[in-house]
Order: sequence, then C-alpha cells, then structure tokens
Amino acid sequence: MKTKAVLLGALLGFFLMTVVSYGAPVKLVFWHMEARPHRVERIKELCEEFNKTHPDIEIVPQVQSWGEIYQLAPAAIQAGRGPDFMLTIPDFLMFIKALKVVQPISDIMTELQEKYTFFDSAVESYHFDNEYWAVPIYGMDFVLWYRKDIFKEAGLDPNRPPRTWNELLEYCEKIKNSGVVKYPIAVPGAIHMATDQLIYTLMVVNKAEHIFGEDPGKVTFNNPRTVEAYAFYKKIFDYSPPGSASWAWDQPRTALFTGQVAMVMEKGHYIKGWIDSANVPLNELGCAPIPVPEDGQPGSIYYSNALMLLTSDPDKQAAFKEFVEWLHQPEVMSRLLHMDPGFFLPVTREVLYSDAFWSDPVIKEKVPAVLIEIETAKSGKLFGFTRSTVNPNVGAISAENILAWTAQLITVKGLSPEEATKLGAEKMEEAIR
Amino acid sequence: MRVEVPYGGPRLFLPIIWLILTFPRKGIRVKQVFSSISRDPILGLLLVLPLLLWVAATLLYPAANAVYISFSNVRYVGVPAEFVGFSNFERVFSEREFWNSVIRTVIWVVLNVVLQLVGSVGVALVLNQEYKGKEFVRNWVILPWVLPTIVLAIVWKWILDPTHGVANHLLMWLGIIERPIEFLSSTTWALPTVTLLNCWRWTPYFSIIVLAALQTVPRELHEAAAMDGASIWKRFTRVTLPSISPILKVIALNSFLWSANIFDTIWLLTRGGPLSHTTTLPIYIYSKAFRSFRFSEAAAASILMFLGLLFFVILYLGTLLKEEGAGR
Repeated sequence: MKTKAVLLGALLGFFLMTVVSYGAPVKLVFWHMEARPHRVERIKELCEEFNKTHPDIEIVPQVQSWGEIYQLAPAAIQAGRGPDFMLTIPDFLMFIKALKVVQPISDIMTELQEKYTFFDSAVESYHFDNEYWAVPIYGMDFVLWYRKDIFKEAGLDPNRPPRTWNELLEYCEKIKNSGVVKYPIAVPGAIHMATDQLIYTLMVVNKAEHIFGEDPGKVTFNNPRTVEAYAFYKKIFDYSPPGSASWAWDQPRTALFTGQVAMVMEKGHYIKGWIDSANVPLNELGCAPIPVPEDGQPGSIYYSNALMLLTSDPDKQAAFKEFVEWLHQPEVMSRLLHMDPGFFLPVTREVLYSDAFWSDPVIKEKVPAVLIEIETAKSGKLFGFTRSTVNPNVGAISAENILAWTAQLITVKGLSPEEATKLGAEKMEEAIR
Repeated sequence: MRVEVPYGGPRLFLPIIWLILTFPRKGIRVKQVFSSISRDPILGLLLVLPLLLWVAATLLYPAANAVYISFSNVRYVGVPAEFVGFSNFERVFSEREFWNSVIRTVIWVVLNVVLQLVGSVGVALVLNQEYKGKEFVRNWVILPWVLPTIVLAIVWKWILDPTHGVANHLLMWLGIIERPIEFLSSTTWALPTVTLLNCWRWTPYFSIIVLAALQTVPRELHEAAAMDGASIWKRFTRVTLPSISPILKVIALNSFLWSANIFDTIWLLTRGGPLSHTTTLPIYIYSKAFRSFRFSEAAAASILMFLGLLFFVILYLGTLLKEEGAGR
C-alpha cells in the first residue's frame, strides 16, 4: 500500500512538472556589455516590456564588461554556461566564431531587410562566407568635438571648425599662441582601443583603410598613406598634454570637459557626458566632421554593434527572431538608442527618419552634431573588414592594439613613422599567423 | 573521557561524525582530541583531506593543465588542440620580447629585494626607538600594505599625473624641474617609478617583521658593546645585523618570490607600458594569453618562469643550509 502511494506520488509529481514546463516560456539568456547604469536600466526596461507583450518568451538580460568578455565568453561557452545570444562587434564575432557556436542568421536578416533598409556600412562587416552572422542594432563613429568658448577666446570663429589636416594644425598653433589654453587638442596614446580607433580614423580619411590586400592573409598596412596618417598623428600628439602616451578614453574627455584643451576626436557619447559632467552650456560643445588631408576622403572608423545568436535550439532561435523583429520597430529601437542620446546611431533608414528617434530632448538640442555623426557613418570603415573576405584571426590585431603599439613606437621610442609602420606590419603578420 | 574511533565503514564521514559525537560532551579536552588524532594517522589524514582536495583542485589541477596546454596548440579556449611537442617553448625562446621581459624581471626583482630589505631595516630601526607617539606610528606605518592595490594605483596615478598631479606641481613650484615629468608614461621613468611604488607598498609589512626580530635582540648585548666603546655603526653591524640575519634571509626569499610574481601593481599603473618598458614575466604571460590569445605559448612561458624561480629558490635554500651547517 505504502509503495503504491509513493509510486502514485512520483507519477503525479512528474505529470505536474511536465505540465508546468510545457506552459513555461522559452527562456533566452542575453549578454550585453553596455555596463553604464543608465544603459543597463534601459535594456532591462525594454526586455521586461518584450516579456510582458510576449508571454511565451522570457528574455533575461545579463550585464558583462567589454574589458573581460574576451576571456569570459569562451570559458562560459565551453562550460555550457554561455548565453543564448549576445551583443557583439565585428572582431569579437570573429573571435567567438572560432568556437563554432555562432549561428548563421541569414534567414532572419532577409526578413528584416524586406521590412527595413539597413545601411551598408552597418551590415557589411557581419556578412561573409555567404552568410549573415549577426543582426546590427546600432552604430558609432568618430567626429571632432570642440569648445566654442575657447575658440571665441582664442579669436577663432566658433562656427568654422577646422576642415583639413593643415587647418587643424593651424588652429592648434593659434590656440596655443593665444595662451587661452596650454594644450589645444587631447590625443590618446596608450596601447589601448582608444588610440587604435583614432589612428584608424586618420587612416580612413587618408585613404589608407585597407590593412589587408584582396588576399586576407596579406598585410598591406605598411604603405605611404598609412605612414602619412602616423606622421599627422605625431604632429597633433605634440600639441596634446604631457602624459598623453598613457591616455585612453577618459583623460581626453576630462581634458575637454574641464576646459584644459579645445579639441578632441571621439565618439558621440560626449553629448551626454557633457550634460552630466561639464559645467558649461551644451551649445558651447561644437561638433565637426573629422578633418581630412587635401587629397583625402571624409570618413572615420565606424562599426555597428549587433546581436549574435549562439543557441542551436530551434525554439530559442524562433524566440530570438521574434525579439529582434520587435526590437527593430522604429519606436522601440529609438528608445534603445536614446539610452545614450547622440552616441548610438540608427542602422536602418526607418529609424533614422522616424519621429521617435528625433523626439529625444538631447538629440533635439544637438541635431547638427547627430547629423554629422550619421553622415560620417555612411563613409565609415572598420579595420580588417574592408574587403569581401575576412581574415579569421583579425581579432588579434585589435586585441593586441597593434595600431596603438605602432603609434607608441613613434611617440615613446622616437622612431620615424616609416620605421614604426614597418614594424607594425610585421607585428600584424605575427598576430594573424 | 577517552574518545575511541571505530575502524571500518565509510571513513570519509568519520571525522565529522566523530566531532559531532564527541565535542558536545562534558569534560572533553582539546588535548585529548589531538592526542587521539596523533595516535590514529588515518583519522589525521581524513581530517586534512578536504584541504588537500582543495589544494589539488585550485593549484595542482591548473598547474597540470598548464603543462598539458604548453605542449599543445591552444589558441582560443574551447577549441580542440593537438599535441605539438616543444614547439611552444621553441617559439617563446626565439622571441626577443620574452628575453627582454626576463631581463626586466631580474632588474625588477633585484631592485625590489634590495630596496625592501634596506628600507624595512631602516624603518624598523626607527620604529624600535623610544619617542612620543611611537604606538601611533607603529600602527599606521602598515597602511600602504593594508590598502587594496587598486586604490593605491588610482591614487598614485593622480598624484603622478603630468598635468594635474600634485607631484609635478610641487617639483615645479620648488624649481626642481622646468617641465612636468611623465612618471608612468616615459621610457626613462616608468620602471623606476613602479619599482619605488611597489617598495613603498611592501616595505612597511617587512619592517613590522624586522621590528619583531629587533625586539628579541638582548639589550645587554648592546649595553656591553657600548661599554666596550663600540660606535653606533659597529653595534649595528656586529650586534644587531647578526641577530636579525635569519629573519632577513626569510624576508629576502619572500620578497624575491612575491616581487617576481607581482602582476596587479604593474598592470594597474602602466599595463606593462610604455611600449613594454615595465613588462615583467607575469605581464608578458598575461598579455600572451589574454591579448594575443596564445594560451599555449603563455603556458610554456609560465612553466619556464616556474622552473626559473624554483632553480633560484633551491640555490638560495641550499646556500642557507650550507651556512647553517658550517655554523654548527
């Protein structure tokens, strides 16, 4: 009798568990690396909203850090504790792709492209081997930020920022000679992603965007145009405050916000940063495209952040598809982009031309700056992703910050741009072997 | 009450059962417990087993895995690897940067050991004097060692900053320098600065140990030497130093091993830069593994470093034992 009761109980328990799990929503763990509190909050809000309107799916956002993700993600994936999908940038995707867990999402992209017009520069770096490997959600690029108040004090027209490399050097000289500030421009110089991205921006505007040949195994970094870009970097570096060789993201920003320098070349998060930190009205923050050499081209480094699918479970894949379709609606996407207004740029024409995107009060106040960023994005490039085929080890070049390392050969060791570029190319060859 | 430990059965649980059953009883003495353990080696082994397992899981397994990785071609974690023999070691040996970091490690270790030894003796001698507020100084001198490295790194980065740092401001105000010194970003200053900061951090810790040793030196010896007309220097070299030399040897060994393995201070202050002017072996290994994603070469370099340290430790201990033997 007792045995029968136990068996009956077990059967009942099993039945209940089956019923409960049958009715349970499909749970998707989502890793993102937007770790600043206001961004974490906005992503959480959106996921909760999606979960409410889609009771059969549960998106669980989990915050990670860009600083550790290259070590953390492979270990977690290997241990079977990785996410179902995660935020990525092109070179990180290449890095994770080596683990053979990244799922092609061409079918999802095809459907999305039927509804929305994606900008080429946003999708190109995720399309290779005849497949799409991630869904772009927002882009970012470099522009020139400058302080109009310092320009005015230095006798420069605050509405006429420098447009060419020569003009930029002239402005630096004038600002320095005016004595308004000691250092006209702040330039990062650490072996860090901040320096990599500035150097590459200078390479792009000097038509030196390809670091590989048509054969992705052949490094073409050592060429006269790259040398010119480094030579120009050295010139502006000399106008930057002492200690810039160890500067990354934060120091140039602090220098601009505190009025220590007049100009910085950086991404769009300066708008929100200025509101939060600088003690000067927002209209004193000027924005201009990156100055170009006489025979150069407009542009900057540009890359989109995207969602990369890692799960092979068909139910989860279907849930992911539903989520990205929901997220790409202009109203919803605009709210995601507004988590740092002016920094995160739309990747579809529909969001760009939506009222929702332009409704944010900060964006409304800085419309010209955001338009400059969007215009720059059209001609933006990313190193290693400028050809139709991609070197699978391209991630090592950014992981080792070889562009910045090459810059330090000039700024710290005193090598000529020619010598440094030659050594930089050799290091790249070693990195991708 | 005598505690009898039964043999047989699931011995793994014996220590726990035994402790639960015996400790609440009245009259049991700790001495009896220990004498019981010493009479039963198996029980003793079982009691230390959890610790042994913990050490095996956290030290031996990773070490064994590092050896395995060093002989295979692991580039990314999780990707299947093949056995490649000694090729990772060959590659590491052929790299100029590896040898540069070895040389830098030797310089770093020698400077740290010497400065920390001299510094700790100096500080301990001051702390050993009688003066007002002695207790306060003794308590607070340890502060640099107590504070977390990250806090110290941030504070020192601010102090040494060439544009807003107080150090350059003071030096310029005093007229000692005309242009700010780039303490952490110039090839000339970075290594000496990081070395001094590391010594500043560790010297107080060692000085407290030396102070304890100084307090064991019999006062009568000093008094007798003083009566014989020995100068302060002579008393220091003939009485104090020989008395505390066993402690100094231990400190030298500790300082050597800890300095060679320091990662956090250097990484937080300079990340091994500018270029690689503060890249010691731990920084080189980290960069190889987590910036270049060449785990196998990093594992090979770490094994070489381990063997190098082991060699020096054996050499040092051998010399100490010889000295001890000769002294008997």
